[in-house]
Amino acid sequence: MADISALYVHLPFCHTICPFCAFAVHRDRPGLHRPYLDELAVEIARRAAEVGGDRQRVTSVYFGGGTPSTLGLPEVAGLLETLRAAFGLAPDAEIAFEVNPEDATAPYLRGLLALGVDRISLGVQSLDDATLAALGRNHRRAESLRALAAAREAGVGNLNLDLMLGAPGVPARRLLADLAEVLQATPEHLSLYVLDLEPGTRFARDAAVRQWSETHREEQAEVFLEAAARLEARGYRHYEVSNFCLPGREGRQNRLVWDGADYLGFGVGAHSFVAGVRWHNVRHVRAYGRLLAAGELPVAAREVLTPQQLANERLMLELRRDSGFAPQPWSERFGFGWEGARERVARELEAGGLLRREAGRLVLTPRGLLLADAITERLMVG
Amino acid sequence: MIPQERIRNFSIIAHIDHGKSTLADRLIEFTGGLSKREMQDQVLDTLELERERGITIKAQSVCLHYQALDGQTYELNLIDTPGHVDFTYEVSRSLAACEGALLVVDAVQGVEAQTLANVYLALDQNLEIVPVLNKIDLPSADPDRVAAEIEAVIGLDAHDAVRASAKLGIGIREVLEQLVRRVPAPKGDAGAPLQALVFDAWFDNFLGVTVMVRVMNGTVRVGDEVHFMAAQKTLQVATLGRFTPARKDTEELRCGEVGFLTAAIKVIHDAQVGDTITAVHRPAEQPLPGYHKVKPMVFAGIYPAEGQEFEDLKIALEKLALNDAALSFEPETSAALGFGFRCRFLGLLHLEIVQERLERELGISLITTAPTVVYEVHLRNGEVTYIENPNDLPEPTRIDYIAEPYIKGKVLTPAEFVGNIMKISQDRRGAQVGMSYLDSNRVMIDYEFPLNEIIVDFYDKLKSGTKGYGSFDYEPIGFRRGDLAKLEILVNGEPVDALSLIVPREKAAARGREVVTKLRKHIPRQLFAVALQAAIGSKIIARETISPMRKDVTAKCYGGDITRKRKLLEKQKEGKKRMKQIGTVEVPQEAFMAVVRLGE
Repeated sequence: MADISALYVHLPFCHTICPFCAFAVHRDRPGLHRPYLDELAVEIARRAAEVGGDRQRVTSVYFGGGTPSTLGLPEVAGLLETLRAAFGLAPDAEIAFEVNPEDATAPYLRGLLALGVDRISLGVQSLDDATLAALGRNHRRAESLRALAAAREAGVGNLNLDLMLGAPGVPARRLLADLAEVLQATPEHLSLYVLDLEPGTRFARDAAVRQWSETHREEQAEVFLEAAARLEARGYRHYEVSNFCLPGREGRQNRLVWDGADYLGFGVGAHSFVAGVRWHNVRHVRAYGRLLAAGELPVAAREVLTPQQLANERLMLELRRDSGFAPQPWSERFGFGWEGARERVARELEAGGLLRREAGRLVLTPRGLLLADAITERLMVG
Repeated sequence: MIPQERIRNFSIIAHIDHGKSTLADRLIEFTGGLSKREMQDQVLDTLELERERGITIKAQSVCLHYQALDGQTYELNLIDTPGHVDFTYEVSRSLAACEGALLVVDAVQGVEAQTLANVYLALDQNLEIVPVLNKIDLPSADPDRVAAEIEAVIGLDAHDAVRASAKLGIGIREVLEQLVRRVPAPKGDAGAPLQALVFDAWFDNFLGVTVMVRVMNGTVRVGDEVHFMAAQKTLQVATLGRFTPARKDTEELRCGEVGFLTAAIKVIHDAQVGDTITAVHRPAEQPLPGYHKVKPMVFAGIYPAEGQEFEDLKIALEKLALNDAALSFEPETSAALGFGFRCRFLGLLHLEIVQERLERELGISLITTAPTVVYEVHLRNGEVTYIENPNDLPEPTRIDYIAEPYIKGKVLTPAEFVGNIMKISQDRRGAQVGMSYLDSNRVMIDYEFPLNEIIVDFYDKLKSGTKGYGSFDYEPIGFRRGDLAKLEILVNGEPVDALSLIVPREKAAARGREVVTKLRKHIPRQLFAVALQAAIGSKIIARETISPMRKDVTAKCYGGDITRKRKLLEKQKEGKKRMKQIGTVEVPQEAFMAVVRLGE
């Protein structure tokens, strides 16, 4: 029995495969959707039966990918129906949906809203054709601008835009021009990502891209800090390393995951976390189908987190957020000491301007956020 | 029983790779000491490490019975010698146990510096030298040229030198015949009081400390009360015997014979090479000449890369010292490196061997501080102290002057590389004191060097400067006054004791720059800027800054990223345990290693 707060549904289909993406993806082809959606329905039902719990507790649903907008509106409607039937959703649940600019027409977005979707995330990445080409994206500036206009025209009231910094061969400062332009549309939320070379991606295998990334970190850091400052000046909260929002517009799914709430993920490669256990599904569409057909759950790996691992994750996740990390409750909850070595490191970070204290909490400064991994490593248990 | 006049005691003198071990194997095989099936390849090199490096550290000696062409059976005692310059004293004691030596020279390569040094040692002791030109099976072998070289360089008659191929077993009988004919039987008086020369000692798990002896006068029997004259220990002989190479116990060792002896010797330091064993009931008046205490020349701190491995390191060092009388150590604490040991070595090779054995046997990695020599510090008040650790240097105001140990070195090189050798030597404060042509192409150059200049990578430099053809040997010649100062390295203003060096003042600035540059390359960026400085006293002579890291965060942290990210950070944290914390700076051990290997 567990109270599930959030649901994630993974739609792996994409028109093209981006060279930086490490998610479970599959090139979209006619005839793929139906079997996958049927399998999703089986997984959702099977999980729902297993976890039980309060049917009104789910306050967030997130459709991610891949490219969820490869689905037609009737397919989305069917999926939502399945979820509601299996879990029920709280009346004020946030339903978020990722849309690629080339799919973001006003009628499609209106259709999503009509189905109950109330947060749209547009994978704009950039308004610069050279950047989009360098990132191997399927769309160009024109589609991005059209998508922005369509979102507002369709009445999307909670809009997120993804922007990326660090495209190989493109000056980092280009981001600032993108930012100025998208801010004219006043999106409620912005995710500002610096390109990470994730293992298994085409970019990670490309020596030229690796070289570019290694030699442009400084410049990216400068531009990121500049962008963060501009966003704050415009009233955006820098509430997590890569996320900015207007007041009250934090992504709910992210917040729940970072808070350590129980959530279930469905579809290939999806992760779940329930009662201190984390698991993830197989990444291949065919393996996923086979396991479900065999009456099993499509789980690839599962880990039961130790108190030390839980403590380290808490530290890591809280240091990334503007609400910061509270040593006292952490120490009491997990039983690891804070005074002494950790406190010494904290003081050192404070003196160096990477961290400040707010009502007993440690909050990273913008410069500190850019070093959140290194800082976490210094403070963590191990 | 073979009478004294049919005993032949001999060593083999050869340069590394010239075929000493192979020849020894053939001699054992030929005389039936071991059948071919029993032959482990190169029996004499017992330790794995020695085999890998192709050198012999611990001498192993064998007793062979050879039926000569004159119809008589001879007892041949092959006394093996350590094959490196660090062990010159041990070599000299092994040679003192012999009447002759086989000089094995590679018929391709010719005479090398190290061979020369040992030949001179043998000649000093009036040994009969039997030259053997080895590897004549190689197409590029030129035995006539090499024979001429032996005559020219050493002044030995080499016209009837044996032409052999130990590898193929060619010339082995001829070697044995020449040994029997040319090497004199041991002299010595069987009726005189016992004098047995200790020329090797080791710790054996079954027998305890075992010593190899050559009975110079008298006879020693099992049960005798004997006195170790230098160690001043009196013990009862427990076992005596020979290695053929299999161990064969015996009741007595007579005048002229070679064999092993055990008594209740507790520690290897009581079984000193060069010591004289005499009988308590009828002691010799004098010990045999030539003994001196083993003198360490090179010193270094050895620390476990991870602090908690200190105890393991201690046990491993103790175990090594059981078998290595030349190794000594004592605990030492470094602010930068934690708990470790200051160790004393015969030379750099000895240090490297000890370090490798420790790492191999312990499976842990070690940080070795830059090796140093012993300095003779003359204080203003007239006192003289010797320091083995730069950090022990007294306050500069108390010092009158510092003297450093010098060596006399001999370099042998093909003529085309003389320029390179001169350049290398000049960089190392070497003073050329002589030069001669051995033949139209080979040159011998005599140098005087401060020992400190050759203990780190000199040999590697020499080898690369001569495409591998150069060779080098040295002997100490005492202390000489120098203009020396202590170079300190500061990380964010804190001196790092483990990196202190004593350097000639003229080279201080260059050396300081070199050290901080290396450190900058090997210390990764930290959360804050790191200042690296080299200083003499309060004067900063070199400076580098490591700028802080700017971005080290993964952008995305969705549900699926959390585990991966946590694991990555856990792994990073684990890796940092191998780093040393200097103030707030995390220094990887490679940084220390890089400083040790200056000049690369």
